Amino acid sequence: MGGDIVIEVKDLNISLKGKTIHKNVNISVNRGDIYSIIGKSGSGKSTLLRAMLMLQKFEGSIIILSTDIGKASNEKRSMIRKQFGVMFQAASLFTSLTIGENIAVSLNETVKLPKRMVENIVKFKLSLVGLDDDVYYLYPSELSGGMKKKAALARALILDPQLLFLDEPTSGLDPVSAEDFDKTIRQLNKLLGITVVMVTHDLDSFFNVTTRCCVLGDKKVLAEGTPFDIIKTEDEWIKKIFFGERGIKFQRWNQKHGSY
Amino acid sequence: MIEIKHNKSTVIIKGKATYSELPQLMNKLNKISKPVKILDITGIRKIDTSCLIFLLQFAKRYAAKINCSENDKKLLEIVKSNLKETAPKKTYHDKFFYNIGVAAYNKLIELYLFFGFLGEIFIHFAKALTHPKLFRVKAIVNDIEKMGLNAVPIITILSLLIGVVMAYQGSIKLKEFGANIFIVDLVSISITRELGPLIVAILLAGRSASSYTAQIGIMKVTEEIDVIKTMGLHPFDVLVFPKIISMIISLPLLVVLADIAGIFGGAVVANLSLGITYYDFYLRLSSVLTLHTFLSGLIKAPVFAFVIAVIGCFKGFRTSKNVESIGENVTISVVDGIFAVIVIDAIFSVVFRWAGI
Repeated sequence: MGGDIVIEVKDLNISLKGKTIHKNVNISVNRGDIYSIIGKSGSGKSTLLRAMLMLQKFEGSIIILSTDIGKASNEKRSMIRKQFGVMFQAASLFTSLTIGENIAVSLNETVKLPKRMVENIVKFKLSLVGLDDDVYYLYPSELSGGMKKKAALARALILDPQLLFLDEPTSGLDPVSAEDFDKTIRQLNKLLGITVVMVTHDLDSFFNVTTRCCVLGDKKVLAEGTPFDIIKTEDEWIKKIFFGERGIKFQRWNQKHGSY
Repeated sequence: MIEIKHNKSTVIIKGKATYSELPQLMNKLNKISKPVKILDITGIRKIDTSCLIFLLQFAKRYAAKINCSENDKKLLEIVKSNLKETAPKKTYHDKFFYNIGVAAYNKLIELYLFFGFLGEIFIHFAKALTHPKLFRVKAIVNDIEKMGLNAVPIITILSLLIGVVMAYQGSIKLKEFGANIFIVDLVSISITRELGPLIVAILLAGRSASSYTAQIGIMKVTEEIDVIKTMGLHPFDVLVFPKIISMIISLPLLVVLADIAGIFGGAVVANLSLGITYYDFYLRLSSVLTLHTFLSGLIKAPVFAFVIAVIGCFKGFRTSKNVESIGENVTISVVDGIFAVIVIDAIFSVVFRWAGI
């Protein structure tokens, strides 16, 4: 089953309130990829992710697991959604449920299992993302930001999804936690064969885990490929993204000293 | 679909084993009563971690060996290394007396905290008297508009209707006695002394206390209260005082309005059903409705206002950091507000009677 395309975005057009966000966007994600979407703030990374998650109206076609989600029936769409694990940027745990209940929600909604079994599964997922059993009984407000993110990842993984969508998974984490997070994601990808699609700003994390990526900017895809393909691309915009602040500082330094 | 074969001490599982097949799998395997030595899952097409967790536990129960493909072995290892047997935490959910105890204790704590809150307000108020800048005129005026002025239409209509109903119900009996003119006594005294202040207070408890609680509660959830604190401001100055002061200003004014509207409603009915002219009504009213009757109703208004605002704010600060508790506290603040208003009204009645007012 390896190597086939799990997500294919074809000629995607999205406009919000009359403003064009995406124009003819084409990307494809292969099975087993850790696919990163990068780009400047406001370049529509999250919008693209939301379109894939069927939270955003779009024109064109997005084919996920060989189903065109734009045309599919509601039953078909919810079947595909069952294959998704999603982690939002702000973790977005249900504040009125404990972490254990939060993680168990979609399992309890899908199948009827004895309480003990659900608890075992949930605790396994907690351990998988590197959280202690103790957090099982805690409420989200009692957790730190990093722990919330991990709990949200555990919630995304509860049904062993084929596709894992992450919206800025490492933002707000300390470097060590971010590193751990990357390791977890790589491990999940390798061992469980989960295809990961993520939006990220964190360049360390980007180079750590990404196998393929695309750069969004100027309403379209500027480049797609492995990270090294992307860096080699001769594009001012991409260079700016990659060398970010450092790039600007370097240019300033150059202007001052007159030599390039 | 999942197939399970059981011969001698070997269990062979074939097919797909994911979370949706898990109940079926559990059901079938738990029926096996004979000891199992080998669990053969090589025939499984697709397996997920939730099924593996169960199979591992099942295998452990009989100390059985699991045969699986190379690929699944890796997955099995992950599950094995992350799976810990944990005893379920003791819960007291079905302990009746425990629940009663907890509820009573929580109520006591709540009362204790409420008095603490009250004390804090008084101490702060004393401080604010020496620093008049702490009173935020803009916020107070804004609050008076939202909670006082915007409540004018509903309060006018409600008290008008109360006056109409009172006069109408009374007129039937009074007509029998030929004591038509006493309708003025009935309407004016009951509205100014009791119904006017009570209607306004109950309405504002529903309207303002709930909105105070929700506002402060959400500010707490979104950590805006913490922002206020880190800016060197006191949440009391910014949030609580303007609300209390604007309530104390607007509630008595609304009571006056309610009194006027109620008596006017009574006058209309007296005119229509008992044939008392507006002029007669006015003459009788000016001899019946003494200033001290009117004031004995009005004096309650600031007390109601204070209690409603304090309960609304207190419940807002009591909100814990989750969404559900906002809803819960808003409900409680309205119920507690109305409850407190009626209790205080009863106390006033007894005290007035006792003091001969």
